[in-house]
Order: sequence, then C-alpha cells, then structure tokens
Amino acid sequence: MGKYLVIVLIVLLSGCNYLPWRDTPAKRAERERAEEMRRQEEARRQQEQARRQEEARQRLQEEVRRQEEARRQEVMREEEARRQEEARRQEEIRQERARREELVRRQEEERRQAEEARRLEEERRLEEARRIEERRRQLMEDDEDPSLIGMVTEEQLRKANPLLLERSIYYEFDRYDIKPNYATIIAAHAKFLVQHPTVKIFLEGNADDRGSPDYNIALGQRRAGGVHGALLALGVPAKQIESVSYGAERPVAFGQDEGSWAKNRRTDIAYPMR
Amino acid sequence: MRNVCNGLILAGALALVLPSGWLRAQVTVDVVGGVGDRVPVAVVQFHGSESQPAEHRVANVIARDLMQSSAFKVLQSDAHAAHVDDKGNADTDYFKAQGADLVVAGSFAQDQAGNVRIGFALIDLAKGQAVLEDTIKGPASAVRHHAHTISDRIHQALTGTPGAYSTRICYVARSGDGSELVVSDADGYNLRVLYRANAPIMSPRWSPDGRRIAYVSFERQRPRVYVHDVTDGKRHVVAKFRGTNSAPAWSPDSKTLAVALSKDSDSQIYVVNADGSNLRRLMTTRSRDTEPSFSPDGRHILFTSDRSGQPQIYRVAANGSGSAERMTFEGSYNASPRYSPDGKSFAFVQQRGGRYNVAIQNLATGEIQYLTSGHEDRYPAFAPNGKSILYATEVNGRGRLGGTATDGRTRWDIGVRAQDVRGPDWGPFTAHRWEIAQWENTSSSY
Repeated sequence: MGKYLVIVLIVLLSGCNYLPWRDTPAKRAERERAEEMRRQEEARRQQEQARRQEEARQRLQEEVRRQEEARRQEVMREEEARRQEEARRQEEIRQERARREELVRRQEEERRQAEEARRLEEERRLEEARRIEERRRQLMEDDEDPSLIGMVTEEQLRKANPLLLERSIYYEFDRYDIKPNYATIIAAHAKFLVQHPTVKIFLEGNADDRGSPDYNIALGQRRAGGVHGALLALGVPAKQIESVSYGAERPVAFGQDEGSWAKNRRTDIAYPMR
Repeated sequence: MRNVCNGLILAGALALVLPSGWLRAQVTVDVVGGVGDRVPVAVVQFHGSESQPAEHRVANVIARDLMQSSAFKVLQSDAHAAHVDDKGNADTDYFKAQGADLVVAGSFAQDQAGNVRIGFALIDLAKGQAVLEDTIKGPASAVRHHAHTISDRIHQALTGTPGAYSTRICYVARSGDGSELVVSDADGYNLRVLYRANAPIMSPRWSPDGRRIAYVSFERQRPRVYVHDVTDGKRHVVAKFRGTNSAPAWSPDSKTLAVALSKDSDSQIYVVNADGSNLRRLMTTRSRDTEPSFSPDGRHILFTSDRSGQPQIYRVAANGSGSAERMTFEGSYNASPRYSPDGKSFAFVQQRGGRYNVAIQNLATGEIQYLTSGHEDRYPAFAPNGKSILYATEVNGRGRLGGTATDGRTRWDIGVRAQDVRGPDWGPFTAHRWEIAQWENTSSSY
C-alpha cells in the first residue's frame, strides 16, 4: 500500500501543474507582464544607478577641478604676493637709494652753493680789485692825478646826504640852462666832492634823439658843461670833474613822445662806483 | 602822385634763401614826381643760364638800379626776353609798342672756374642800333658789382653823368649798446662788418680816396675819433681829447680831417692831420659849432652853429680866416650840412612842423628843395655823382636807410639786415676798388 501511496503522491505532485487553478494562460500572461514590469523596473533601477554613479563621477571630477583651480589660485596669489613683496622690497631699495642720493645731492648742492658763494665773493673782490686797477690804469692812461682813485657806494652816498641819490638834471628841448630847483642837488654834490678829494666824477650830457646826432653831441656837451661850471663855482677842484657827451646815443627812455624825450634830455652825475 | 614800381617789389618778394651777407629787407622804389620826361628803358632778362636767385640776376639788378634815377622809366616784363634773339637783336616793333625808347639786353655765361662773362648792349630803338655794347668778365662772386657797373655805363651813356650804382656805402647797425660799422653796396647788398664795439659808434665818413673811414666810437667811455683803414682793417685814434671828439669830415685830398672838439670850451671846429698830428683850431667862438663839411675844392667849410640861439648852417674859409657867413634863414633848426660833389649846393636837415627832413639848398640862389617827408630824416650824404642822397630815417621807431634822387622825384628804401641803422655815408667812386679783394674771399657764391 505504501507503494500506491508513493505513486499517488508522485502523481499528485507531478500533475499539479496541469491543475486548472494552478496554471491558466491568463495567469501566465499576468505572470509574464509582472515579469516584464519587474525587468523594466530592474532596468530603470540600473539606469538610475548608472546616472547617479555618473553624477557622482562628475561631481567628483568637478570637485577635483575646483580643488585644482583653488590650488592654482592659491599658487597665483602666492606668486602675486611674492611679486608684491619683491616690488615693495625693490621700492624700498629704490627709496633708500634715492634718499641717499638726495642726501648726497643736497650735500653736493650745499657744497656747490658754498663754493659758488665763495667764488662770487672772490669774483666780487677780484671785480673790485679790477675796478680799482682799471680806475688806476685809466687815470694813468688819461694822464690824470693818480690820487683820484676814490670810489663810492650808493649806501655811502645815501648816508652822506640823500640828495646825492638825485644824479640827473633835466632840460627843455634844445636848452642847456639849469632850472633853479636843481640848485640844492648840485650843492650837495659839490659839498660831497669837496669832502672827498679823491673822488672824480663824470658829467654825462645827453639829448633826446630828435634832429642831428652830432648837434646833439654838442648840446649834450654844453649841458654837462653847465653843471661842470656850477660845481667849479661851488669850489670843487677842476681835477675832480670831467664832462663828456653821449648826445642821443644813450637814451634811458625809448618812446617817440615828449615824456620819453624829456627823460633823455639830461646830465647824469656819474660817480666811480665800487 | 606816388606810384610804387611793382618790378622792384617783385624783386623783394623773390628774395630766396640767401647767404647772410646778401640778406636785406623788401625793396621798394617810390616815384614821387611825374614820369613824363623819364626816358623809357626796357630791361630784358639776359640770355644764358643765370643760376643765382632772381634778385641777383643781372637784368633785375640793372632794372632796380635804373629805377632809382629820375632820368629813367624802367619797363620790365618776363615777356621781353622772347623779343630779343640770342645775337642780341631786338624786335623794334615790339619794344616800341611797349613804349620803350631803349632796350637793355645781354648774355650771361659762367665757366667752371667761377668766372662770368657778361655781354650787354644798350639799343636805341630810334637809331635801330646799339649805342653801348661791351663785355664784362670777372669773378662770379662779384656778379652784382658787374651788373652795377653796367648800370653805371648805361647811366653815363644816357645822361652824360656817371652812374654811382657800383659804389659802396657805410652805416652803423645798432643793437642795444652794441654797434657795427658796416660797409655794403649802395643798394644794401654785399655787406661786410668792418668793426664791432660794445658802445655807440656814430658819424662814419668815407675818405675821398676810398681807403679809410673816419668815425666816432664811445668804446673807451668817451667819444673818440678813429680812422679805420678799409683795406687792412687797421685803425688809429685821431682825436681823444677831453670832452667831445666828434663829427669827423675829410678834406678833399683825404689828408686832413675837420673835427668838433670840446677840449678848450664848448664844441668847436678844429682841423687835424689824418694821423692825429698837427691839430689846429679853426675858429674861436662862444657858440657850439659842429658838423663841418669841406667844399669839394677844399676852400670852404660848412658847419652847424647855435650862435643865433638855434642851430643854423654857416660857411667859413677852410683856413678859418674871415668871419663865418650864415647860410640858412628858414626855420629854427637847420643842421648836418654836406656839400654836393659839384660844390654848388648842400644837403642838410631842417625841422619843419615837428619833422626833420632832408633838403638841398642852392649856394648861389639860396633856393631850397625839400626831398624827404619822414619824421626823423638825418645824415644826408651825396652819391659821388651828386644825383642821389642817402640818409637815415625812422620807420616804427627803428633806424632805416633811405635814398632819394636829388631832384626829389624818386625815393627808395635800402634794405638792411640790422634792426636799427644810423648815420650812413656814401663812399666815393673808388671805394669798391679797395674792397673787391675782400668780396672774392667771401664764401657767398655770387
């Protein structure tokens, strides 16, 4: 009986597939759809996973790139900082050098100025000596009294008498008479000359430039001569005065009008200036 | 009536880049009087290749020269040249139609050695033949001088009086206190600085023998009279007395100078040998006497004196004997007398209505002819032929040189390089002879 039982069991077991509630075409189709959906689901899942992996890879790459970029930036910043540092150092060196040069220059300049001042002073002394020498030579050449070596300064004249700063006498056209208002000025010069017997002056007659240049020379000479006579009359020794005429050749004003002409019709009292 | 002859303005306008020695301002000639009795002369460009700038071409120099004479009316046109063939035959009908009586034409050639050969002819259209024909040869550096020489010959042929176009003048160029004594051709070209000083120079006077120029220089503080040898540049002091040493005037024999000195009183006239020796006082007066001028025969001296209270012109025997005779009576200011070369008249400066102008007075008749019309005309000096007067004038406050025919009918500017020019004098006929050697040594190419 056991044998039958086994057979029944086997039959049962092996025929279950053919049972209507076990395996119908609808069920199979259902099963296949489910299978298909599962497969599709599986494929989507796999795709999704691949996409995610791809994204992750890209993120990683991006991150790597960013880091790379950051590193590069960092290097550049460092480089820039180094450059700036270098520039700053150079600038400092330059400034330091400029400071040193400026100092040297200033010292040089000071030395130069001192030198220049010394030179000028020396020149002035030489010039003064030259003038005195020139004066002496002139006196000799002109066969004059060598004692007339005296020279003056503006300051000296001003101190002696402010009127001595007035050293021009002016005239009317073609006239040489001295107007009365010049009397005190001429007297002041006479007094100074008497008190300074080594000083010899020039009386320089001038004319405005109208008319004949040679006649103007004669006129200028006459003008100087008038002042000359006045000084002699006031007791100035003759050897201390010389009259000369520049005619219209040395104007002080250059206009072609009465104002300019009036300034040029004059006798200048010229002292030997130190 | 005042016409400006365009031909000469043209010459000025054509002034190209020149060696400085040639440099000059514009050139104008004013015809002051009528032109009716002027002989019409056509001046034709010379045949041949003249490489010099237009103003130095022979025909242009001649035209400008002749324009200064009141005797001529110069007809110049570029069209003329086509009417003279290369043998010098002029197309009579053409030139007559142009209004010409005479034609100046010629040829120009220059060789490798720098010498020029200038043939020229003065053709009288009425006679149909040349009345003057010649050839000049010489260094190219003196081409202007050659042209002036042709002008002189034409002037002589047509007027009977020698021209003075080839003569030299001297003047003072001033800048500040500095001065240059300059000698140049009568038209201002070809100048040479004879002397420079850092002081005024004035009153240059060319000796009648042409060799020396006397002048006043203030270079040693005081005015002194110097004589400067044009040929060798050497100079010496003639007068260096106390006070004024001024206004030198040569005697006709060039051996003595009259000068104005103030050594004994105010300005007085003395005579001194050209070497400075043998000084003697001409007159003793109580006035200011100056500006002597010897008569050409050496017998008289004209001078300026203020003995009447104002400057007037007087005449005295050259030895100072007798009394001086007053020559001028018109106006309150007459000065700067200069005898004419023929001794028959004198040029001087007269103040009229606030102006100073050059006039000529006839010694026999006392008749005065006024020649200039500037504000400040002075230092009249006769050309050696007596036909022109050179004088100093002022334009815009600067000294310039002017020329005027002695009949007053033509006036012209003498272009000068300097800004301010003074006291000219006109050299004698012989002056250039002493200078030609100097020109040949200059670097300029004409």
